Amino acid sequence: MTTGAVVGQVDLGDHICWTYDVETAGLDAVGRFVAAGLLRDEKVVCFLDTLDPAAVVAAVHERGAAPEEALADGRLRIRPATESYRPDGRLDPDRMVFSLADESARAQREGHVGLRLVGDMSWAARTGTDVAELCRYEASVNRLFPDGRVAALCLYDRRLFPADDLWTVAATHPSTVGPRTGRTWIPLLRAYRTGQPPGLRLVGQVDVSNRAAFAAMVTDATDRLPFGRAVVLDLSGVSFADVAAATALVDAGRAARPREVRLVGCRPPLRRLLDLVGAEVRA
Amino acid sequence: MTRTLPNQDTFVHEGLFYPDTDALVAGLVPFVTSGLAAGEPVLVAMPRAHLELVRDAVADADAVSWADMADAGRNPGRIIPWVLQAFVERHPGRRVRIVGEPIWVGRSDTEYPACAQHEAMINAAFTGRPATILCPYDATGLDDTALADAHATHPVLVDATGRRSSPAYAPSDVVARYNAPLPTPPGPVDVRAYHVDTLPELRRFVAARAAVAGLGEDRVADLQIAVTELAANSVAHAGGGGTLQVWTTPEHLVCKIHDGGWLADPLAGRLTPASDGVGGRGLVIVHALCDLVRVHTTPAGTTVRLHMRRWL
Repeated sequence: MTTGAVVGQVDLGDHICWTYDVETAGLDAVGRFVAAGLLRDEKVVCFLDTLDPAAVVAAVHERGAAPEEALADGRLRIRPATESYRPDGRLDPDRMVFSLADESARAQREGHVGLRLVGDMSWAARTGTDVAELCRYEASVNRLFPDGRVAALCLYDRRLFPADDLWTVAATHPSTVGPRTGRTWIPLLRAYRTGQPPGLRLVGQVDVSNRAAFAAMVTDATDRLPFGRAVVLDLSGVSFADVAAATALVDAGRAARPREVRLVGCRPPLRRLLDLVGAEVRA
Repeated sequence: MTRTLPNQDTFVHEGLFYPDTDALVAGLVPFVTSGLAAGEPVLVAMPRAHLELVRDAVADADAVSWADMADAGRNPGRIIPWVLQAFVERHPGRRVRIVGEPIWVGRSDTEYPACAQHEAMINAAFTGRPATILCPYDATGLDDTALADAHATHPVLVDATGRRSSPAYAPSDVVARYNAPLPTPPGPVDVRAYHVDTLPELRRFVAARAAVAGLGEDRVADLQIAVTELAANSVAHAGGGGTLQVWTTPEHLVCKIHDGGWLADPLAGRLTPASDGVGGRGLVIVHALCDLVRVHTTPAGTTVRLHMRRWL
């Protein structure tokens, strides 16, 4: 994997699960991600756990940004992950998502083009945090990204998480970087919020590696609307969708009532899948 | 032929052995018309040539649903969920009557094991369902194995001499007998290992091979979905990955997917989801999308072979 090429593809609006298994690989990714943000005048907040703050600062420096200056004027903030994610000794997903939304709003008020977040998630393994709770948090934080003002790199050390847990958590991210990621990687799925009509435009692919994120984004888009309204999901940019994605769309339509979910731009394979899954659902 | 009405909620599965098409028509017409007379919805699913013979002989053909089994049942694994169960569910609360001829002269050796397993699985899939299914067998044209298997997959046998219960009835044995290793041919085979983080590459690879083999755009997309569903099962239940082998025969593009998982439930993928097990929803769609699906599954690993016709 060429870390530079891959990090270079990450933009505001992306929520990336970045898995690594040697410290230096994690530092390399964070250094490039933070440096790119500072160079674009984005605000950057790092929640660190096992990664050493001084080593992160050095890695950012090495990538051509000026982290000391940014730390001094508040454009870069480094905070201990446990204090942020578990202020009362346990993860409160809703509260954490709320505080990140607040952080994003503050970055906008301060005149930044966006907010970059680094989440060093080793604390979750160290504290024995329930994987279901962790997934609930990662799934619900997806609502921050379709506005294109926040990018997040969630760092998962593969040595600390059992493989099954790791891929379950990874699926709550629209895109994952793994040991076999190649230099042609681009984020697998992106969502863009639309105003007129209200809804989401989805671009990319949905499969077992990101299906929980897809379901969460679709659900959030419908939850935002008052009863009686219709949410429009523009799927013209979805080049691949699996059975679970089709099922999630059918389920979202049912759960949204009395709102309506309108699908536009479905490509023929997805339309066939919706027919097949819909036929099952009627059964 | 006389026939006693079954109990309202019993499932009846009978094999009809016909020596020629006259006997076929003579056996099926009273079955169909007495079903209509009893107010039961009737479906006849047979290869087109047989279908037309029976349709011409039934007075009220418009009251019957007709399906070309060579198309609807091209993949034998598709028949239970997408032909039989679909018909039952279109008529909730009513006893239905179905003629299903899934095995005919001309079914290939590659298809046959899936056909026999299909016939065997009907018994478990429809236990307790209010349905009568009659399966015609060409007693003259089919080989001894197919006829012997039909005795094992049908609890009741029907021929010119009457109806009797089958002493050889043992459907589980048939499912097990054809749950056999699926060899890879000696010819050129492409191999790819896959993992949860290489699925887009896997899909690109499948699409390229399928396009070279002559599959149309829609069929390429269907195959990508099918392969992705099986790979998803590997990710969720078989240690995170597996291997894909792809080759072509004159008739088919073949994708063979192997992983360390086990489909312990023989009905996995054969039922619509309400009563389905782990991974079942993806598998039932795989059956709908592919032209033939062969499975070999043991506690040590599972191999699934997907066949897509190169020329439809």
